[in-house]
Amino acid sequence: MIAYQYYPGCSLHASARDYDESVKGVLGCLEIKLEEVPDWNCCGATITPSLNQLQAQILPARNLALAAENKGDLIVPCNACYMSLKKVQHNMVKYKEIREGVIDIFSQTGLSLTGMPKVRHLLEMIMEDIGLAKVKEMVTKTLKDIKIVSYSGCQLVRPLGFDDPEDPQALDQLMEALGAKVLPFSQKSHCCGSSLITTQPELAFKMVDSILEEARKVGAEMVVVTCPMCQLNLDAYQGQINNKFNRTGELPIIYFTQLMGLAMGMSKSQLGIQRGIVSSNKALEKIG
Amino acid sequence: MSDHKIGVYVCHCGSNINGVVNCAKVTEEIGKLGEVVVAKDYKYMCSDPGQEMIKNDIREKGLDRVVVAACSPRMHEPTFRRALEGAGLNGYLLEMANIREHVSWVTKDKEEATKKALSLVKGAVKRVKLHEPIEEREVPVTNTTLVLGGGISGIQAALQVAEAGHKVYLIEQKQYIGGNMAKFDKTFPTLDCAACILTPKMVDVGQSPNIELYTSSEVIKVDGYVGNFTVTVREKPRYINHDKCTGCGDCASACIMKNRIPHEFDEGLSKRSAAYIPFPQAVPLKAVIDDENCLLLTRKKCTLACVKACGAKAINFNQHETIHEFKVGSIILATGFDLFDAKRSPQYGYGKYPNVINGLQFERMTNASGPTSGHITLADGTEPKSVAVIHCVGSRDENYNKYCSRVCCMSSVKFAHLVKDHCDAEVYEFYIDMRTFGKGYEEFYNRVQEEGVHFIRGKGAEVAQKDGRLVVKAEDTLLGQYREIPVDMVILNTALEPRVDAEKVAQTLGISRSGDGFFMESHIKLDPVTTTTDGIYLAGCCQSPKDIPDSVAQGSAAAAQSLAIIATGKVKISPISASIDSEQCAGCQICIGLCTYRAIKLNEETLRAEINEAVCKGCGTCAAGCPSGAIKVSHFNDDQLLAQIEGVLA
Ligand SMILES: Cc1cc2nc3c(=O)[nH]c(=O)nc-3n(C[C@H](O)[C@H](O)[C@H](O)COP(=O)(O)OP(=O)(O)OC[C@H]3O[C@@H](n4cnc5c(N)ncnc54)[C@H](O)[C@@H]3O)c2cc1C
Ligand code: SF4
Ligand code: SF4
Repeated sequence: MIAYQYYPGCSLHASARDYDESVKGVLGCLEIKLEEVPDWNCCGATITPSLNQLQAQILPARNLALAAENKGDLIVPCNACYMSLKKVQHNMVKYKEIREGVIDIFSQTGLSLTGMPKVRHLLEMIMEDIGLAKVKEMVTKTLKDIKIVSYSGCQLVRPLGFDDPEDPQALDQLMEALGAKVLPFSQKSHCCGSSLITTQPELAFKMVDSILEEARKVGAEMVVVTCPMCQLNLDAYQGQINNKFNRTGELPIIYFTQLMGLAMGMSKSQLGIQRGIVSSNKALEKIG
Repeated sequence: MSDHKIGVYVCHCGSNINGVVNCAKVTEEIGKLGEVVVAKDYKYMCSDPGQEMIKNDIREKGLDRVVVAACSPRMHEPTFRRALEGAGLNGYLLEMANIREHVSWVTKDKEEATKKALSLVKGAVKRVKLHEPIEEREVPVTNTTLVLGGGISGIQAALQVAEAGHKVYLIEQKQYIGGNMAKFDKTFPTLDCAACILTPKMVDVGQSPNIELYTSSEVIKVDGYVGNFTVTVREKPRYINHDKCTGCGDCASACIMKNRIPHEFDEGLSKRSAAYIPFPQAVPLKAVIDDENCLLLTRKKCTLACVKACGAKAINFNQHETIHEFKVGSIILATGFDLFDAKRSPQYGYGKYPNVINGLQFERMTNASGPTSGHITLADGTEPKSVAVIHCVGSRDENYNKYCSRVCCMSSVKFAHLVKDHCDAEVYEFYIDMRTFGKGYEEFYNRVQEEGVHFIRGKGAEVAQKDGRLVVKAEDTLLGQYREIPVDMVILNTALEPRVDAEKVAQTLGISRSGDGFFMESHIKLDPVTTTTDGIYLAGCCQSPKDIPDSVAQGSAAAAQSLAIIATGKVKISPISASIDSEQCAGCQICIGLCTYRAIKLNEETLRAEINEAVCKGCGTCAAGCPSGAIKVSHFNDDQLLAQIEGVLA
């Protein structure tokens, strides 16, 4: 049994419980053990760096300090957390002032940053450590050509991500392995507006609409996501955005782990699928 | 140990050294060492008065060793060696301590700098005592030149050497010469027609009695050293007898594969036959049969329509590749560049949207003898009403190439002008910075601005399709606004990159490449034409992206280097070389693999390694690697190096 450390991030304990449930369900089936980092805190997401650079490092850095060096890679299911954690590691190596600032603050608390674990996105771990062959083996109920677009979002792939930043491939490949029909989609790694949805809704609504509109145009039945932030923006605001731009047609926004779980024979409720605001029932009818 | 009379000269290099190192103090301390009979510091040691000072001291005080503490020996070792020789002392009785690049330029700490400078000079003093006089060697040269690559820079170099009355072998990989320039219609900044200025030069190459042109050819081996290279060239068969072919093109019209093969010269915008004439002004203007697509050559079955059509009976399917061997004195590399493959940046939709094209495709479109007879057209044959030009695709980008490709701002401006001129569409240029640096370039840019072209400062981020039209998305950094501009055609002005086979060529010739992948010059400012291998010179885009004026200038400069070698009739070879003590050599051959210059060979009879001193650069890699300690490098022997270390640590 391979063991990993797990940093769920705030969303997965709140607005994205469905994601958390499906992650645990799927990894359980794959016999992978996750150990949650003790006493973790918010990563600061995209908001804190605009307030104070140094303090913005402290939030994610503390999580890295709490994680153990030798208990396996740190697996992160949220794109925003993934990037904050990776960025702080990068900044500590690249910028002397940041390194010294963080060390100085930590020295007052007894935390230490020697020996940080490797930070990896959940999708990255599934693709690289488990592999498509094993995933295919686990599929008991193929997705029968459900038409999807895979929307990786921006922080999975840039600036320090693991897939092609302009045309990510991992999510497409994984969905194909489950039997879904992946449609061509040019906005795979576009930004969903993230927290601008609360501070500059006009702008973020346009961004989300552009993503949803292309998905509808290419004929998608659902949009597959890897991030609770993207899911929230595309799902919870969809009604408002469709009204504003006069669009018809609802698109369920589903986590990749939820589709994995279904394909591996788990039930909708085990995977939290009923929690989505736009219902997936119709899109999932095909596979019963 | 006999007593030496050593003179030590510490240079201020203006404030370059003296601003950080206390030169007076170094001089004073060094003056106290035994055997140092004179120690002086001076503002510019390399100046005439500085050199005179050294010469006078040698004559008057009878110095027999000299130490100069100044800049890098790469800069002025030859200068000071000449000064010693001017006063009758062998130039190798000099040692330089580099207290500029190694000291004053790398720290601000004056105290530490002065300490380090002193240590280095002490090391030099200890070392110079063990120097021995060495005589430089001279070897005769072969008065022929090989030019590799027949683009504008190679053509220029070949013509100049030939005009001076010397033989040139011009080797071109493609079936024709002219390189990328042959594809253009107009050239910036003056918009003269590319063919009008290039074709006469290509014809001269074809007609010059001093130039032997080999097309469809590549260099497969280079042996020897400056003045005396032996180059092996493989010439691929064209399946056409050049003496008989009249270039009429009847074979092309008859060929069964007619209009079926994407034409490289037209950047895939037109189709050709398997037997074809590359382009109407090609030199040589002879047909060629493409062995990858000819039915007879690939499937051994064809009606031989070309053979029947050829009145001159020029087609010969029994041709084989030929191997040639040339003896040459120098080699000029002019292999040019490759265009960045825009598919590597999928966000621009190249290969996905038919109306997204690259710069060379646009050049072919505007060329009167090109695939659209000079008309700018969309995939459906209509004229565009608006065109976007995206700068810096694959250039100035951490993900691809960090460097600026230098010519594309200007060619983008040229594209804008050509669009305006041909079809009066709206043109939007998306740029990061406008780099219009050359003679007449800014003026050309201003002129095109006045033609009503929209210049948007912001890198084109993405090309998408919306409601059947292309849309360019970008942040307009002058407006501080995100913009989406719908257009009919997008021209991606992609980077100039090192050729795909650059590494192979570098290895065959034994030269280096710089970090960006282009061939490396020996000094980026003062010696941009010479490689680190004597007798091999660079011209044009194989050294770095550049425009036609610069390529031509460098072609001429490379020709001048070759002619200089020929004019002197002999070349000086650095006497610093390695030698093998054959008694000690165990014949393990480790050194052979280590030598980048391929100077070491196994003597088949004695089974001991042997160094060709003319090829050896004296780098010392072999000496460091020899497990038997059988290799010594003159002027860098163990005793000298140990003495230097001892001096530095003292
Ligand atoms: C779209 C575009 C537009 C441009 N417009 C202009 C313009 O208007 N004005 C201007 O001044 N500049 C312009 N330039 C720049 C111009 O193309 C170059 O300055 C010029 O082509 C450089 O010439 P070159 O001989 O160094 O290289 P190339 O033109 O690349 O020629 C190199 C030659 O070497 C041959 N070769 C390569 N490898 C080998 C090998 N291993 N063995 C044998 N032969 C080999 C090639 O086949 C080729 O014939 C433009 C460039 C581009 C991309
Ligand atoms: S091979 Fe014959 S037909 Fe072809 S161009 Fe030459 S002469 Fe004409
Ligand atoms: S010349 Fe202009 S377009 Fe080309 S890389 Fe440099 S800045 Fe970009």
